[in-house]
Amino acid sequence: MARDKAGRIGEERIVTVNRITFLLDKGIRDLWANKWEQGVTLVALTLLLFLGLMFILVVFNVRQQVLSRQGELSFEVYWESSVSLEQVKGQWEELEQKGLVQSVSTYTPQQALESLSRGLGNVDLSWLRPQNPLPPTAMVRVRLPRTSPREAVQDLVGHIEERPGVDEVSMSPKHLRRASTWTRLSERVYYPFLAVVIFLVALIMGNTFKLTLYSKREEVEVLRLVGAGRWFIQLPLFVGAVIQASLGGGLALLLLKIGQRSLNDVLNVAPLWLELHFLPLQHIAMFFGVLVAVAVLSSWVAIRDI
Amino acid sequence: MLKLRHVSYAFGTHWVLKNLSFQVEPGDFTFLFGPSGAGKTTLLRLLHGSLSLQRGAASVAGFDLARLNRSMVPRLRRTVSVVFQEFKVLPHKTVKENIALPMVVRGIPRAQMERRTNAICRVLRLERRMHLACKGLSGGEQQRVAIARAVVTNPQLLLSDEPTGNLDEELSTRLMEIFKQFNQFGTTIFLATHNRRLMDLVPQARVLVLEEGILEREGD
Repeated sequence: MARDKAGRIGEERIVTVNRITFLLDKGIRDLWANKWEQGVTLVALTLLLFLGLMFILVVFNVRQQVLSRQGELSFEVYWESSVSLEQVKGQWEELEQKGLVQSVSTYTPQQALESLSRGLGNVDLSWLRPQNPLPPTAMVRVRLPRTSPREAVQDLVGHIEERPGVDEVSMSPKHLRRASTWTRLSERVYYPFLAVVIFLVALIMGNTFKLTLYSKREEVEVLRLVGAGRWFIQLPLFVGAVIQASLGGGLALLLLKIGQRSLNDVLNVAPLWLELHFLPLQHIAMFFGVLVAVAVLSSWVAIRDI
Repeated sequence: MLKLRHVSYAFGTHWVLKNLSFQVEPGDFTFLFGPSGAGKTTLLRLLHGSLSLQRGAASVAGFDLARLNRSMVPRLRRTVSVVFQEFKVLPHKTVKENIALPMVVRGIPRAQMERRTNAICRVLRLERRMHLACKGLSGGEQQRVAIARAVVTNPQLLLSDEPTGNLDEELSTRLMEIFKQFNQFGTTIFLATHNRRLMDLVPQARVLVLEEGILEREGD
């Protein structure tokens, strides 16, 4: 009896999987059945998403520029002259591994002397070599983090000061305050702006889907009449909407990439030297996640009351 | 098959059905006769699960309408078919696709679907139209498609609301023959109409007379 029951349950599972496969396939076939309608919707969706993405790209790049000019901080670290160069180099390597650190420009006493010589107009300072007063130095550039920027930088500075052999860390508190203000400001502008653009795109996209699904009202009504359940009606529509949203999103991203490359060729030359970066992977993933969610939600809303 | 006890229904404060009680046995052919506005369509929509029962008790093909929730309505509709005056066929799909729709919904295997569709088309003389889109068919043909779709799954009960309303006399007569045929096959028929002539075509049928939402009388 247990075997019979297990057999029946197994059969039911196979039937359920077959039904789901059938409905998924139906969603794809329904798209193909109304080629022209779906094609026009796809074009409208792609253009809408492309415009939204362009906005986001421009704002993202403006933010990057602001952060690179205002959201970074530089300070010098001086080691005592008596410390061995191997120990200092070890600490330089350690510094480069720190998360906040963008770059470390290092100068051994010899290199510092040569740099000074060049700075003084190539004056011969070789006589100072035996008793070089200049210490090992590092110029550290730090990109301020989004959260608690001042505390993070102060922690880093505190850590550097505690290293054996470090004589002084020269950092202006005023510069730190200014840099962290710019970082916070850009966060407060960028993410809300991003949310507004995504919301507007989602709204218009939802409406586009709703209008497309309006043409299916008749079919949905007849399906309900002949006893189709909720999932029989909704699953193919969700599949269709997700496919359209994904295709539209993919095409929009492709257009954006082409646009970004073309604009870069124009902007990243003298005298502008403005590099236009493409959106980071997390933003793209978030964008696709929102697309799919909106597609599913708007399909559900469109047929909910039919 | 159908059992109503003191059923009433209102749209707002306007009572459309008032205290209806009647019973229909399996295999019966019953006319629901009444003028326009009598409440026939409302009653049929109630029996088909489009409206929720407000007062009274009703059972349709074993489904208690008082306990019918939204998720159970598709199951009710897989047992009880309906044919409307407006056909409600999908114009861009073929005759075959329209007729097969209820079987697709039920997950009936393809081979069985083919056999049943072909059989129904033979009975309703739609074989030569099977692969044509419904938008190209005449009114009578579209109505036959709607009937074919309604009966292809051998429903226990067939509800029909003015099925010959858009058809001429000759087609109406032909359609009533089809209904009689399916009744002979065992399907319970419950047909709403204001056309006395239809009742003359099925003299053995039972007649319920509805006027202003009240069941005035019953007769054969």
